[in-house]
Amino acid sequence: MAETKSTRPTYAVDAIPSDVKSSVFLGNPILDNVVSSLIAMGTELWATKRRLKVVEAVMAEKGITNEMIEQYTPTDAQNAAWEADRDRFIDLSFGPLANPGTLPVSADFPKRSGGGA
Amino acid sequence: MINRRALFGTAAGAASMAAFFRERAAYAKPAGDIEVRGTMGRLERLGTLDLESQQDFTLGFRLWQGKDLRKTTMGLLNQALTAKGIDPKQPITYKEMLAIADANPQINVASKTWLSNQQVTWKTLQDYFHANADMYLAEMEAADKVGPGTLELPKDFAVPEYTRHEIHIQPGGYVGDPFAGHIYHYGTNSFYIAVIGHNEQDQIQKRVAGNMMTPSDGKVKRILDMGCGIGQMTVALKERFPDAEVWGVDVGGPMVRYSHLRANDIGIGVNFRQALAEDTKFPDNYFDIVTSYIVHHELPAEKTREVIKEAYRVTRPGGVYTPLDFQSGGLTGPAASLHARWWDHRWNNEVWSLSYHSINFTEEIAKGGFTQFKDSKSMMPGFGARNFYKA
Repeated sequence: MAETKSTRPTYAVDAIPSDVKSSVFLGNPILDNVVSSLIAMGTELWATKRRLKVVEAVMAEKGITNEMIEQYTPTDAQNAAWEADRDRFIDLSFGPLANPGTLPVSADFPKRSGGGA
Repeated sequence: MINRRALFGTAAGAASMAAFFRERAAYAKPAGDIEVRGTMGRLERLGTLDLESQQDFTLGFRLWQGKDLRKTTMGLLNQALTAKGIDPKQPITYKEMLAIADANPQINVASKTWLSNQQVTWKTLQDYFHANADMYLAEMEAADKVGPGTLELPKDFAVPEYTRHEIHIQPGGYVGDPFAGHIYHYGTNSFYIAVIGHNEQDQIQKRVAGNMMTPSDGKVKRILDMGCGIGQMTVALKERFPDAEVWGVDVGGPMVRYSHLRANDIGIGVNFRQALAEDTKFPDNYFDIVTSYIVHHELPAEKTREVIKEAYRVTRPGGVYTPLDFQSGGLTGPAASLHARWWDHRWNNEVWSLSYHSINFTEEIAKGGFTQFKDSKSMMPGFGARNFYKA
C-alpha cells in the first residue's frame, strides 16, 4: 500500500496482496518488465501530449495562467478529436504488438515466379 | 470551472436534469466538500489534469486491447485449436485451453500489456490520493457525520479473510486502502466504457434500477443493496423510489465511507452500513426489495449460499429478491470465452470467480426458498435472469 501522510483514521485493514508482480508471461522477466515500462511510458507520453493540447487550447483563448489550464474543460468536439488522436497514437505505438509474425530468422524468401534465380 | 449546473444548462438532458436540480434546490453543498477541478455532472473531475490524462490513456489502451489486439490473439488461439483438431466452438476445459494459449507468445504479449495497463490505471490513482491523503481523509471525516443519508461504521468490525483479496488487482482491494472507494470509482469508469458503455453518471445502475421488478402489492418502503460497493445502485434505487428507506451494506469501511460521501455530495439521502452481506444485522422480513450488483462472482460459493439465506431472512413475504450477476454454471466452454474468464480469475485476481462458476447461482436462489417470477428477464447483457420473490 502506498504510504499515507496523515494521522486520520482510515478504516482500512491489511489486504492479501495479489502475486501479479511476480508473473512472467514472456519467458524472461526482463522482457516482461520492458513491456510494463513501455505501457508506463505510453501513459506519461500521452499525458504530456494531452496537456499540450490543453495549453494550446487555452492559449488560443485569452490568458495563460496555470489555473486556467488546470480548469479548462474540453468541448465535445475537442474530446472527440483528441480521442481520435489518442487512438492513432496508441495504434502507432502499440499496433506492432498485434502483428501476427510467423517467419523465423532463418526463413527464406517465398518462391516467386520469374526474375531468374 | 465546470459545475453541475453549468454542465446541464444545455438543452440536451435538461428535462431529466430538471428533476435532479429540483431535488437539490433545498440542499446545501456539504461542509468540507472538495472539488479541486469541478464536476462533470455527478462525477468529480480527477484532481489534476495529468491524472485525468493518464486515465484517458489507459482507457484508450483498454479499448484498443478489446478491439484490435483481442481480435488478433483470439484468431491465433482459434488457429492453434484447429491445428490440433479442436473446433474453436467446442467446449473444452481450462486445462486444455491453457495448454494451447500458454504456448503462444503473442497471446502472452496481449495478456502482459493488458495487465501492465491495469496496473498503471490503479497506481496512478492510488499515488494521487495518497499524495493528497490528509485532504481527502479530512473530506471523508467531515462527511461521515452529516446527511442527508447516514453512515454506520461499527467499532471492532471484523473483516473476514475471504474479502481481503486485491480484486481486479486494485491495490489494497476493497478493504485495505483508505481510498478504496475513490480508486474503484475512477478505475471502473474505464472498465464500463470498454465493456458496456459510459457510466460516469450512474447511467447503468439507473437503467437497471428503473427496470427492477416490484412486489405484486406495490408496496416499496424499504430497500437493501447487499455488497453495495461505492453505492451506485443504492443511489439509483433511491432515485427511483424517493420515498423508500434505502440501505447499502458493504464489508469495506473505505467503500461505505466513499459511498456516503458521494451520495451526500449529490444530495441523495441513502443509508450505508459497514456489514457483511451474509450478516446484515437487519430484522427479519424488513425489506420490500433486496438486491445486489455484481457481488456474487467475488464470493466463495459457500458464502453465496449464506448471502441467499440472509436475503431470504430479511425479505418480507411478497418482497422481491433481484441479485444481479453474470451467468454462472459450468467450468467448460469455447476456448476464447474460457480464456477471458480464466484471465479475469487468475490475473485480474477475481479469486472466487471460478468458485462462483462451479455452481448454478439461479438454482441456488430457488433452493434458498425464493420463487422466480414467470416473466423474469436478464437485467443486463451476459447476466442471469434472476427476478425472485418470497412467497
